[in-house]
Amino acid sequence: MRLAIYFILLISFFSCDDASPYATPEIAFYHWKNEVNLTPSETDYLQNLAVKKLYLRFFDVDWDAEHQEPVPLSIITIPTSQNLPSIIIPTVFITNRTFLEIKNMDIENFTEKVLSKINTIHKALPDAQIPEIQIDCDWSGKSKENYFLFLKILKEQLKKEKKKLSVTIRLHQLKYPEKTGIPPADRGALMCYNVGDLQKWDTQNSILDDKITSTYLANNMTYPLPLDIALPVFQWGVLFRDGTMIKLLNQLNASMLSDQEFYSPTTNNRYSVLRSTYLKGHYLYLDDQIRLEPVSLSTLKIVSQQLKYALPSKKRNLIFYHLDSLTVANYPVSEIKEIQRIFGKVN
Amino acid sequence: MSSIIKIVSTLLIMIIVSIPNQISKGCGPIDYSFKGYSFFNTNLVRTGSPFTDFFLRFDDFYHSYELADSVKNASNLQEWNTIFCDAFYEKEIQEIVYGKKENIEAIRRASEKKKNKLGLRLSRNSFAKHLVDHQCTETINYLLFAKNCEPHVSRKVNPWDDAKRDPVAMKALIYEGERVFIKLKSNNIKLRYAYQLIRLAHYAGDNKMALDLYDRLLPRIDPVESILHNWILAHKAGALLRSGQRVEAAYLFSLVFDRSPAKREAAFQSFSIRSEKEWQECMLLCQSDHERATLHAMRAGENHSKPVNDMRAIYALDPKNENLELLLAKEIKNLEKDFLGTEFNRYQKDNAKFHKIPRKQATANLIDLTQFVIQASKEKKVRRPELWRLAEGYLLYLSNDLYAADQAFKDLEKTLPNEKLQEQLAVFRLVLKISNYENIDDAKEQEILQIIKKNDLYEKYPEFEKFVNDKLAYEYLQSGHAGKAFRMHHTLEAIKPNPQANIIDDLIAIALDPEKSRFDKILTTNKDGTEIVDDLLDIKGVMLWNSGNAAAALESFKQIPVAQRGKNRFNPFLERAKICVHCKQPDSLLIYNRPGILEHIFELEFQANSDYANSASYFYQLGVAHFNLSYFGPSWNAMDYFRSGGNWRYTKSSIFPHWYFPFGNKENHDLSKAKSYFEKVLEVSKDRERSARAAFWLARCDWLTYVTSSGYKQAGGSNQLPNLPPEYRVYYQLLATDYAETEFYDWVIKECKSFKAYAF
Repeated sequence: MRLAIYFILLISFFSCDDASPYATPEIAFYHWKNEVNLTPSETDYLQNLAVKKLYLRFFDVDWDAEHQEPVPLSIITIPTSQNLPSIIIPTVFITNRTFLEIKNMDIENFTEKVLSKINTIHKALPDAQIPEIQIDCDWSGKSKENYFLFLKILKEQLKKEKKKLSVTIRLHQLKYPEKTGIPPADRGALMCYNVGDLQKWDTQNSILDDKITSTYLANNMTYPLPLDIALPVFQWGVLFRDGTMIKLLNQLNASMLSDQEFYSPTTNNRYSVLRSTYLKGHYLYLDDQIRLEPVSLSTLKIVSQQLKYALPSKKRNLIFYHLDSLTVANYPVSEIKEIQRIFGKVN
Repeated sequence: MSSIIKIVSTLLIMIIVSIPNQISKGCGPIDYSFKGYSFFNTNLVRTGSPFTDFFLRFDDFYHSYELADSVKNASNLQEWNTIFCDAFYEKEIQEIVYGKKENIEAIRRASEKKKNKLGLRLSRNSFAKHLVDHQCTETINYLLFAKNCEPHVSRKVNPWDDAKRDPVAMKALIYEGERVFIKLKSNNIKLRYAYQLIRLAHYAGDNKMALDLYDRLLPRIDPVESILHNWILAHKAGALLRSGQRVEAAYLFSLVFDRSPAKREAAFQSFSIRSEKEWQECMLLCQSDHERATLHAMRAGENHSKPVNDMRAIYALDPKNENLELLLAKEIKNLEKDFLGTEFNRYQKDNAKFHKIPRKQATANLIDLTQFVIQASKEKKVRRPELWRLAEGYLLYLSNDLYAADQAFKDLEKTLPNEKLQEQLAVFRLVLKISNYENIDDAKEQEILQIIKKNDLYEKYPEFEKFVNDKLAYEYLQSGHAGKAFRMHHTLEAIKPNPQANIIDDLIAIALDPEKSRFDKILTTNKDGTEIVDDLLDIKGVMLWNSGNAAAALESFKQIPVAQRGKNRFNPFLERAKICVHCKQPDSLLIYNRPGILEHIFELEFQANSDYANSASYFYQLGVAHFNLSYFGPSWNAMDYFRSGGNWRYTKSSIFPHWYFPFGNKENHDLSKAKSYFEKVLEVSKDRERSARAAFWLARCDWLTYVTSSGYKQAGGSNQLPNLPPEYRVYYQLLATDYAETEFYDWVIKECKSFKAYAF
């Protein structure tokens, strides 16, 4: 026992460096599916990465134009006996149009509904610690006032329950805080994905592109909220027809486009459809085009380097979007740990 | 007299066509929707088919629970009435079937003779009375059972409601229902119980039970005609899908799509094929060519589909399939966006930018559809070959084969069997006629005027108005008539904030032509019947004045009759201590009209260059006048027609985009002329007070020039003074160093708070 204490002290002596602004972040994951049903491989993955925190999307909120009110959608189902990390951060995605449409005087009532819904879903997780709630909304200039009012009321309510409020922050909101405003929350999660223009065929990779992220990041940036970092570990295909972006083909990978009877690789992760066929539930036509958008480990590492120097922090979460069996297969534990270490290393 | 009436009526038309309607720029209404034309009348294919609404939404896909519910409830009430030989008003049935549970309980009590009489309201309901009088126990019990099921299967009224489905209670109802089912005599009621039970099991999440109930209950019901078969099928399909039997589910959804208007949209949304293998398997499940054709129709009905191959497949399987006409209409509508009048559509750039229209492969799509339509109209296997012949002609027109289109339309002339098709043919021929107009001359203009005034189709189809205007504008532009082209879309007001020489000159030439055509007369006449030539000369004068050609401007103003020159009156020669754009002019002030200002300016310039002893005074007056005539002065309206207070900022060439003005709003920010006169004052004046004043005007000019320059970045706080670069502070400093002893300097120190910030 004494030996163990000496060992811990020794480790902490060498690892603590108060002078360094960099520290290894804690790994966390987003869970963005409608049903919590972790596979054994996903559970092992979380355990091997020592993940203590899971950001669980509880539900979405969108504006119901027919009834002129916000409505909860895609509410999560949580079966009993789930082997989840001990800390759960309920996450709610709210569309920007909700805040564009909602009347200012209805926001207090709306906040109560959101909170009540979270608390109801929370009952399915009796053993989970819930120290924080996260709201995901890509607000705009016109929705800012309503969104910030919502956050303000929510934060006050959460304070009574001794919970913190976090919000997602997009790169442009980090770069132009004076234009976009600072959301009244306790902390933010900087979303470093969906950075490019999805609609343009010429876009290199709309999920993650270090050239684009570099234009938003500079060394030692400051932001009024402490920031966690959210990085993408997913991929998709973007389907174009007649020059127009038609739809996303989730979790599409190159092997699914390897049949040369139907697909012809053109250049740089791009494919042409040679014969009409079905792919991932969508009917493709001759001459459709697909842009495959994988998020490579090398890009993740480059962006991590950029983020490390842009936003030095001693304590934060590194949240990966999102937990899925394909994530487990494509992003090995060792590589995720390597990305984690980048934030702590002093180069 | 009649010619006056004609002119006035034509004028009215032209006024209407001149109302601008374009994608917004600057502040104003924003409309990014596609802007084009369409002449294919979808009513041609609206034959009461249950598919019509679904296919003709043209990608504007929406889901309305209320709409689906209303269709569902209406068809259910109709069926109840049919069961009872249409003996009741549907409202009476509705009151019982979709009314309160207490009503049905009261009916049951009355029928069981526990309480003989129905209440006053129910006793007036003949359906309720019938149920009691004839002791329709099975029906009454079913209605009560359905009411008990309702809370478990209905959509939540409040979407935030946390109440969850209670599978235990739902299953208890299933067991109860099954016990009743065995004893039932009526096949209609049996079917309704089966529906309730299968739906309960499906919504309780017990797919196996739902499928099991389907297999057990349905064979025990003798065949009855009912909408419920399809509703039950939809629940079976849902249960199959959830239990992983995707292909079977897709097949059943296609049947529901085909047969049930109430469930059509839901079936379409749930229909899912993931692979070629699933598609082939689904095809194998089909029991007729009609069913196979429905699968193709569903695939072709998807958003952004390329339907021609599926249309070919439908044609091969079931050529009289009503979906074919609907898909044809849908695709023609898409191709109209790509090809109809694209050459002259004034929104073609916006359509390409915001909607990527014309589509990249539009030509291939057009050829593909045309070939198929030619085949279908030739073989005459389709329901209405004449519709396909008509479509063929229109597609040839869209392909720009105008001769072939004309031939096709001529061939059709006497063969069309009904008025709707004949009218469509006439519309297509009119479109073709308008498209054929090139090198517009007086005779053609007369023809077009006749179309506008006398052709009923022009009035009936509002698309013609913009089609004709855009076409004419394009043709006029091609022949160098920028002014006429402009007038096809805009009033003169729209050009005033930034006049364009080619447009104004063209319109003046037409207006002054003594032998102008009737059409030209309309284009150059005001709403009140007066000619626009005076307005045009005034605009030209302002335009020339702004471009530094004051003498030519005066010439233009002087061509306006004297009585018409004085509408706007100013006095830019009045000096004010403080900059003031909207100051009220003193009543007794000497006022000038535009040519009057110019004449006085010329006079001052002459005196400044001849009366050397007083030249400083004249230069000073000229400086003040040019300042006052600028964007920053109270006489801005002499050199400009429109000023926005929001444009106190930089923009390239001082042109600000504006939603109403096609060429934007040019603001007269330039103070160089005023500055040059004040600088001359400094050069020649011996009066220290006047020089001090001139120096201060120069400082003001520099300050205003800087804050409307590209280099100016607004300070964070709204009350903060701009941080003026040194080169813009020269005259502040000059005033402080060289004129500190003047009375004017004392005034400046007292009145101008910012002076110290820039001078020292």
